[in-house]
Amino acid sequence: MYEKLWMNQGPAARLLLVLALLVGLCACTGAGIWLAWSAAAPESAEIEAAATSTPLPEPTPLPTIPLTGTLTVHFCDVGQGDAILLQGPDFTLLIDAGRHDRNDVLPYLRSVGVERLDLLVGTHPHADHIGQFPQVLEALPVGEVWLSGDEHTSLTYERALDAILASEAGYHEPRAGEVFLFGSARVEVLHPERLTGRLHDGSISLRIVFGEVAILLTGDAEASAESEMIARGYPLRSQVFKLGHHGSSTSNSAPFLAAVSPEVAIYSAGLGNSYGHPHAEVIERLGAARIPVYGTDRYGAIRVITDGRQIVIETERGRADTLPGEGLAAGGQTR
Amino acid sequence: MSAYRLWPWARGKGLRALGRSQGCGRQAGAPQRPDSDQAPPPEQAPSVPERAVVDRIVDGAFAVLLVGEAESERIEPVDLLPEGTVAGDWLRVRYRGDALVEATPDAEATDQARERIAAKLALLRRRGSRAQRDEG
Repeated sequence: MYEKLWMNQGPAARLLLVLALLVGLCACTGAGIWLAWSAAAPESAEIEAAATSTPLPEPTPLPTIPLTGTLTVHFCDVGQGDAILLQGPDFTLLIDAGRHDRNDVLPYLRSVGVERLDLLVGTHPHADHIGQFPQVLEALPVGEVWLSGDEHTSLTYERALDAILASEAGYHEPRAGEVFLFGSARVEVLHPERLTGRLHDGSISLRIVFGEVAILLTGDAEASAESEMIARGYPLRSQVFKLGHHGSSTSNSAPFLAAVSPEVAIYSAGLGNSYGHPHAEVIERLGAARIPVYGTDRYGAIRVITDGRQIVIETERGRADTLPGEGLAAGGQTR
Repeated sequence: MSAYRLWPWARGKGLRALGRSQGCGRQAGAPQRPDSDQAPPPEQAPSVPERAVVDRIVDGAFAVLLVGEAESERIEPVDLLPEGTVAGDWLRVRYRGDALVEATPDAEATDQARERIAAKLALLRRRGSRAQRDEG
């Protein structure tokens, strides 16, 4: 039929037919391209919204695990060191285990009824973070131990390794992008991606999500590590942020604080410590952003209790004096 | 072997810079006494040399030394340590009272600790993780 149609036409009509076919072909191709583009490209309203809203990544989708009970995050008062216990309805995690020259972590764990740990993390190998690994590992069954993998040469570090080796715990060196489930807690690893030999900057940094509430713990990660975390694009926004490196100005950079945008900041430091932690500029930075801050040096142990939606802060003792931007009241503050 | 020697009355009186000015890995010797109205405390014999490890450098200014078998913590200005000292280095140190009067690098102790600990970490790494990954 097509041949007949073609053969019956004069040269002008044939030219017209060729043109008509070409126009039809272009129209179909154009329509296809437009459909594909319109599916991929955001609407102009979306572009406007993206341009005017904050450039932070969207929060992680909530876990589908049904929540029962509450999570208590204990920022233990261990002097100039770190020990953070997350005691949930179906998980118990300890992030760092205090200083090597004190004996306060295990007694605290016992005092709040801890009988086993699902996870023990040494964010990095310094003696004010892994100091009481031996006592904890000898006294409690521990499911899993995480270290950054940076090697150190201190006896304290070696004793921690000995204690892990003597235990039945699993062992892992987590890397950015990994996500784990411990009961109803979702543990997102934000850092490190690789080790550089700078022990502070190799600190294991975790965002722990319970329901709608996220807690960010970055060990002693400094500003360069914070920049890397921002650049990776993983969600950072968290209601509770333990200030990096005991509140030092070498950490807690303004861009990182903006990305985390916490409702409350907590630091762990010894009263009158030799380093001046927390540094005034960090406290002032938090004050300017109207973020309440609590420190173990002034409040003793600090507990953040959450049902996965609301958070309540309890402190062991009232503050000694006031810092700019510091928490609004001592003890039993409800947010 | 290099060492830095500082007098106890020199601490906090500007001799930190003098210690530095002696250069890398050289005997600092007896620094000049700074101008001061205060008489130096009575002379006290320095401690016997002890091993110490630099656990960490804090805020680029302070070196945290863990001294002896018990790893007693001593915080010293970074400038008092031999130039080039980094975290993880082992030293031989002597104190007069609370004052660090000598710090000498101990490369042998550093290497031994590094090898010993690397072997332990290698053993640990063979163990593997048991945690549940979120594959969702």
